[in-house]
Amino acid sequence: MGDIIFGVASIILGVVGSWGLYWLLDRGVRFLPVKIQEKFRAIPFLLPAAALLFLVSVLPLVQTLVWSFMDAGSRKFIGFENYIELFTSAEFLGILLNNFLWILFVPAITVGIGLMIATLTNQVGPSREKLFKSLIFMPMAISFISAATIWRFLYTYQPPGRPVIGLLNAVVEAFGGTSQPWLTIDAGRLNSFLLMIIIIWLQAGFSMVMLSAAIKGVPEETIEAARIDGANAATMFFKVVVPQIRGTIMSVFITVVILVMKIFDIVLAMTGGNFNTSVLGFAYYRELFVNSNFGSASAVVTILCVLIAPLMWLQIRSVRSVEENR
Amino acid sequence: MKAKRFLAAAAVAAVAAAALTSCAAGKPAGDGEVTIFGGYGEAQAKAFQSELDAWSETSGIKVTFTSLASFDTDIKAKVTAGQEPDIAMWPQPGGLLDMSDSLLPLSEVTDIAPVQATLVPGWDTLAVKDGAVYGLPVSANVKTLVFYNPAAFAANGYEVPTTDAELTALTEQIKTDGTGYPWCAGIESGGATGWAITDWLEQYVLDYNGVDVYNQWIAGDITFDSAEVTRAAEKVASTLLAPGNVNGGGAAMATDNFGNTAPLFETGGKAKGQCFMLRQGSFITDFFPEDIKAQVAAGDYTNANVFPLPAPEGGQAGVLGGGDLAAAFHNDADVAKVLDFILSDKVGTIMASASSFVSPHATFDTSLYPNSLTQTVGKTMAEAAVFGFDGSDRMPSAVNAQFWLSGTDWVAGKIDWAEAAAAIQSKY
Repeated sequence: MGDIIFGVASIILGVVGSWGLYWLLDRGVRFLPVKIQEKFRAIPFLLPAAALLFLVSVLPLVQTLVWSFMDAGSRKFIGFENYIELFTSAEFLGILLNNFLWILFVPAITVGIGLMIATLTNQVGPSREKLFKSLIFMPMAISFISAATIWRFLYTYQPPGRPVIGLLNAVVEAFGGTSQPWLTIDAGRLNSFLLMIIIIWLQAGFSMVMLSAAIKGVPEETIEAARIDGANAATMFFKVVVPQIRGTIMSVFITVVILVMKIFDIVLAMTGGNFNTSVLGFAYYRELFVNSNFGSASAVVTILCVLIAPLMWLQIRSVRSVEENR
Repeated sequence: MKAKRFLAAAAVAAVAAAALTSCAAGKPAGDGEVTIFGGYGEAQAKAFQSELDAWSETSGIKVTFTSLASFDTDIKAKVTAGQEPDIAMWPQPGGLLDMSDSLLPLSEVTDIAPVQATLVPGWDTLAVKDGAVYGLPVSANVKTLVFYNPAAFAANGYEVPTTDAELTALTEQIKTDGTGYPWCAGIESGGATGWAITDWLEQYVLDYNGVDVYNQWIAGDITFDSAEVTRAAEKVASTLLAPGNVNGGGAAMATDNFGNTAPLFETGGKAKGQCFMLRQGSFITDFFPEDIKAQVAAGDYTNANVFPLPAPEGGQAGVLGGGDLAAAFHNDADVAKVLDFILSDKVGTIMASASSFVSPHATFDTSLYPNSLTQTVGKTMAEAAVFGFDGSDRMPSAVNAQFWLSGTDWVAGKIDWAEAAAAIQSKY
């Protein structure tokens, strides 16, 4: 009960307080000469948001950067030692390789599958389209950690003689093969690829919905014109439809890339980072929450940020180009 | 100038006042409620709560015990978020000492001398920093135990081994007979996968080299690639990783949950993946299948019993174990009373009969253990002269975590011991 009162009070106080703040700032501007007033009117309204953003986003970023040059307890500066340690450890280089593989395969396959399903569902009639789309979109509603739990059962392994409870191994045995401890097999990074399938399964729906909408937005006239010129289905798809939805493809692609860069839950729930499946997001978790090493954890996050930043820029640019095309 | 002097005087007065009030007030009275966080499994958490409920009937203090799913990581998050409990119980002294900045020395909260007097020697030195005791045990477990199925042993004419030579002979016999696999040895445990293999190594480091070398190893003065530790690793490899010793080999060990005890009670022989021996802590009885648990609770040991793991050739018998150590975040009269209770040898009257509880006190009434199996385990603890606390728990947590990770890779056959040792050593 006390919590509820406290919650309601803080909401009221927050709303009234921020309204009061803006009112005061606006009052302040009115004391300025009329000419300057018009110029500066917007600033008081931007200022609180900018300050808040600085407080919760920029400041922590700078602090993380500073911490990455300090020791485990953030007590003294140790220069680049955290970075040197990371880049000379075979384990961390393996982690970078895993991240690279995730980025190389997951976004491209997700977009490819999304594009394929979007095109196909657009051609099966409205009622079937709804059914197929709902089915494919459904995994989106599942959290990563629950998805990982479900797939863990699929991949699970029991030694010879024990009842086979994993679906994958059951299929393998049905075809006369023998059960394999799939998640431990890192030859060719097979286990990492098995983890990637989960994200593709989760994100294909998102990719499909976005791309399907974009395909529907392609002007009918262009398709008509291509048809009259005698283009076949493949030419029409790749030369007419795809170029017109390139902006959407890019933004879906980059959204998935950024999601994949931050991937963590799947690795935690499936392998706990064992058997060479760790990724940057998980390495950060281990350093901070298991090893209590703020320096090393901050260094991992900084590396992650540096790698993600150009992608964010690309993302913003491609969203902008989509908007311009409208 | 005048203003400055005035400020200085005011500051001095304020400090003096603060000092005075803190002296005069002494220990603040509690609000009648105390919260404890711990890492107990379901059965033990329930038993502990009933124990606390029974105690609060006489003390009038309501104590709530909450089990955190992944205690070591969750407690850090809670403390960082300012949601620390009054008392927390660490399964690892290393994790406890990591947080000593947020904790109070126990002697500041209550008089710990009477508790220390009844503990088995060794326990009170585990969570000590700069001479101050931060944590003392509530419950213990013994890990130098091998669980076996007497019915399966009898059916195949096997005898309980009392020496390492007999153990090796039995292992070979099970393999030649083709009746099953000598060892059950899953080491999977979610985010903590690998801890079970570290126990095996610690046991043999302790047995081969004695307590001094063992403690030096834990302290980081003896390296993982040293001859002493490598010898223990070779012993573990020959016991578990030799072909046919564990069903499915090392890769299956790495994915098989430590609590998967069903194959031990299997009767179908090798075709059904039956295994004969399980070296594990006393808590493992909580993970037995329900029917076996019921049998054991009823005093029927036809399907589950225990023998101490024999010391290896050229080694001595050390007793290895673990436990949950309580530490205090807050200090008031109620917290002090709760600590007096949970740290004493009075705890366990309910827990001993309802879970796999073992008291760390030499003075604990062993007749409270419900059956001869738990009494064997309890007496092993109470009578221990050389007791070694599970070592990896006392290593720095980064080293411990790497020990789990590289140990798992070693078991799964991804790397050899030299590579594993180098990876673990690099965390110091």
